[in-house]
Amino acid sequence: MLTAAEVSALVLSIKAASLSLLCILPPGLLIGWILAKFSFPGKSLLNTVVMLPMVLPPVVSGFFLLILLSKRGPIGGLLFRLFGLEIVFSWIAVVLAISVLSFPLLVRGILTAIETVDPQLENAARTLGASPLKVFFTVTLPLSYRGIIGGAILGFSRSLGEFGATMMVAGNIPGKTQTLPLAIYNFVQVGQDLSAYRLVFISTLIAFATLWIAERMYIKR
Amino acid sequence: MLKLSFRKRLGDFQLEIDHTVTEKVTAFLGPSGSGKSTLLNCISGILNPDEGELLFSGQTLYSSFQKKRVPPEKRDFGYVFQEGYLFPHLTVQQNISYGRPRRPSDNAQIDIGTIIDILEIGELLSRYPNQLSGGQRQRVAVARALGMSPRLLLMDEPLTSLDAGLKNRILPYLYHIKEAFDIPLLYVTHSISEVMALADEAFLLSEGRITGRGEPHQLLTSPSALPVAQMTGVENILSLPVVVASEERGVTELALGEQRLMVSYTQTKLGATMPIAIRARDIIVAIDPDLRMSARNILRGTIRQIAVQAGRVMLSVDIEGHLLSVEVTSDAREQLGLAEGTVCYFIIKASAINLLWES
Repeated sequence: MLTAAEVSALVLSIKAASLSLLCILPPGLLIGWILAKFSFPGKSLLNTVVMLPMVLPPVVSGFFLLILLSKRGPIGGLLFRLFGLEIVFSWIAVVLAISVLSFPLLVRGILTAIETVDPQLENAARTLGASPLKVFFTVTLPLSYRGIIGGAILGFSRSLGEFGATMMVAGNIPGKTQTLPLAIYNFVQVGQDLSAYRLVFISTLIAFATLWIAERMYIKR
Repeated sequence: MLKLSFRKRLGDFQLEIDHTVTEKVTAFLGPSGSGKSTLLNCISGILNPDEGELLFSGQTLYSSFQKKRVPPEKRDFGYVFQEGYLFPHLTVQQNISYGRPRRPSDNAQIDIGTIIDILEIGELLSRYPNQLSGGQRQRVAVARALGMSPRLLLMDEPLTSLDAGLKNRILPYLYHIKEAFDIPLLYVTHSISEVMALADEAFLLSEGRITGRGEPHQLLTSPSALPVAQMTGVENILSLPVVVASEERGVTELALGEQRLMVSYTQTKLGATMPIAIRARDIIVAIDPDLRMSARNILRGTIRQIAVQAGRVMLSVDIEGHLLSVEVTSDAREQLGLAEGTVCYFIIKASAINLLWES
């Protein structure tokens, strides 16, 4: 059986990844749609900024977040003054870190899924009186939801595995900000090999299952 | 009614048009690449022209001068695409009602039931597009466009993706639609028979420009329809009155002045005009009419002109005032001593005569 520390890391990871997915799905859809359908000045820049965390070392992404969110940073400072909220080293920081890191993967999935929908179908809907927004919800989304779910699942599993950025901005506080990968790292450091093995096994299982489901989503159209 | 006066460039291709469409059914006839789809896309609002203006019943839909562009969803133009483009995730019923206007007070609305009856798709309503045959799919596509009660119906080669047999079965449906609904129809095609069957006025479109316009029978049987002939590979298009239609003998006889042209029997009315097409190389030239042969059509005519183009000898032949193009080899021309003014006989197998439309 799992120890309390292992359970708490697992639960925190799943909670944070779920909440993160919920938060980034709407903007992910919006940006994926914009990138797939429109051309405008600055499109490449937007694309690059969104995709940057995918190639940036996670620690570097985490460092940027730390600067932005700390009490002396622009965002963190504002939140502290307005609400007395301290984000750094809190569970909110965990959610923010994994959100930023999994966002590119989600957008990529959505973008690809939307691009597979034949634009002529969307044009047909326009001629039938549908506004671009109605076209998105009645044609684009129903025809691309499998790919979008696939992208969401990949983003979710990326969230579960996030290490570097979370460590930077949320620390490694057991029961508070210690996610699954951080717990594994800790257990290995202090020589609790059995705990580490159990969490490694669970991690692998989740990764395998999500990847497999995502693949099925992409294949079965 | 519909004023088209604009330019649109797409890569190397440019569409340029300055015409007003006034008839109930207007066809644009042209080969692929002539700009037919670009034209419809500009009218529907899927594409915007580069310059010019587009007006429907006095309403400006596009104007580069006023910087105005009405988006496709505000134009109320039904569009039947060449490939149908039914929504694959919706049933036939849902497809048809997708464009249904949300204003029940509007009495100009077309009754969905009527559409379903006319197009005979009542049994397909619960099916999905991938469970339909090609012909059924096109009928549903037409129904979907009609379902929105459009102010104008645009059709982009709706029959092209169908095989010949199916075409002839769908064409009557389109004809019924023309008769049943008071909606102007703008039809784009490369098929002469479709134009003959449906259109009140036809435009010839070639390389992005209008090269002719007029009443379809007149336009397509006149010598100026040469580009059409070239693009379809049919040099002779005639519109001839029916004088005999005998189901027993299996023939329909068409009058060419005093002479008769026999074609295989089709249901038709005496006195109706039947458009036919004959290829220049399907006509045989004979000097002596007394040969015993199976071909039933032996027409007497005079050679008016002989032209040699790219190794082909083309005779321009006058048969009772109709000018026909006949192709012979240069060998045949020499041996028969064909010259301008020669009177000879022209043999056409009934099977070489294509009926363009059974009216």
